[in-house]
Amino acid sequence: MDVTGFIKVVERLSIQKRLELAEELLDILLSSVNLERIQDDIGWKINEAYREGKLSNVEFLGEIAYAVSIAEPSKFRKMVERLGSEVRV
Amino acid sequence: MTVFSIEVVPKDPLWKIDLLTYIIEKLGFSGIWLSEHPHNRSSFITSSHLLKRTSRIWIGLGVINPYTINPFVIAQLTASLTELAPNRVKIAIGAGDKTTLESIGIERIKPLEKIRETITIIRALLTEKQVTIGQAHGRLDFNPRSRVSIYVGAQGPRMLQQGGEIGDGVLVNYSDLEDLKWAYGEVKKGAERVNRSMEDIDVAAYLTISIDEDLEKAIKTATPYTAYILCGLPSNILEGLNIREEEIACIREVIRKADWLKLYSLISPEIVKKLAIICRPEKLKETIEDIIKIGYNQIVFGAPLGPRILQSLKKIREVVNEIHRVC
Repeated sequence: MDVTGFIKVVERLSIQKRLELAEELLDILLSSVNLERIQDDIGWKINEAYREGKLSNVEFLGEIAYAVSIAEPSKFRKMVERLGSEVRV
Repeated sequence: MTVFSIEVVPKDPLWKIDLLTYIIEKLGFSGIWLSEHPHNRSSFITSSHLLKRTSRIWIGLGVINPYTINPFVIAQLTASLTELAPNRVKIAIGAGDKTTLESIGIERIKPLEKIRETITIIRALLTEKQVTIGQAHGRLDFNPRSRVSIYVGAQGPRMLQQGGEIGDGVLVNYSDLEDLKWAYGEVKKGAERVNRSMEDIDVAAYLTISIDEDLEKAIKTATPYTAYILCGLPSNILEGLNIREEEIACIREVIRKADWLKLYSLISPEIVKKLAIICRPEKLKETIEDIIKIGYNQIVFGAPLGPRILQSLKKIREVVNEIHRVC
């Protein structure tokens, strides 16, 4: 599953589940040592969306999923595999 | 009451540092210490952004190195920051690690004298706006908007004592309880020498922390940080750790080449555990309480904090809340 597939799954999740997912993705991203791989404008979009409380927003989840897939590809893969099995795409 | 702050290392992009600081402020910590290192983003530039994006927390810049930034310029930059956020700026001055300075062509000569002179210059410029020391004369043509506490960043016995003599505070860069006890005693010696009360000095334990349920992951996360610490340790501490000068030379070389993977074979988990607080979150409270009992007024939870930074920050906040409740 790529980021597009990930978004399709996210759209079917409850708000609560989306929030949990967003927190998890944000933690992976902020803990990454590969943030130089991410374009600054994407980073700032994530930053502002978090500050505005838009964590459960599908657009935010798309941005952060994309960022994690670049900074931490194997962690992103593991996460979508887990999500895929939970939601049964 | 004990003050709790978090170290933020500006090695990551500004959007992350900004977000992390926002989260730290929201979690209710008193301040952040923004570390300064020639390999990372400038703490002065970064703090000027962060001070405008926060409203409550103070920002400490440290440890600023007078071998890389002229003391008159440190005073000018610091005074400028007070205009952005009065009463929310602190600075720490220290001699830095020899390896990094040498790598950029700077010889660290007479560190004790250098730090004493630097603090004298900065304090005079920030309060009286002018200073003459030997051939050097400087002044500020504008008023700093608030008082700035000046800390001494220290590890060796003589620098710790000097911190007790002249610092508004001392940043003590150890994590082991016995080392912290010894260091506090050295600060006290210095304070007593000039008849200062320890109550007048903010003695901060600047801890390297990595917490997680999985201790192996916590150790792995802390290893690169302990490499830097090892390279800056005084010889008496290195002897206590049974580390030979040749081993330090190897670690320095690995740092110089940024060959991080090799570090894991050079630094044992036992050494990491000696130089950093590695524990499960539920054990952290006990450790912090022991440090407070020594006499430390401030606890700086230093990087890396853990393999998952947000989880670690939330756990640390819970620990701080529990300690406050007990107090």
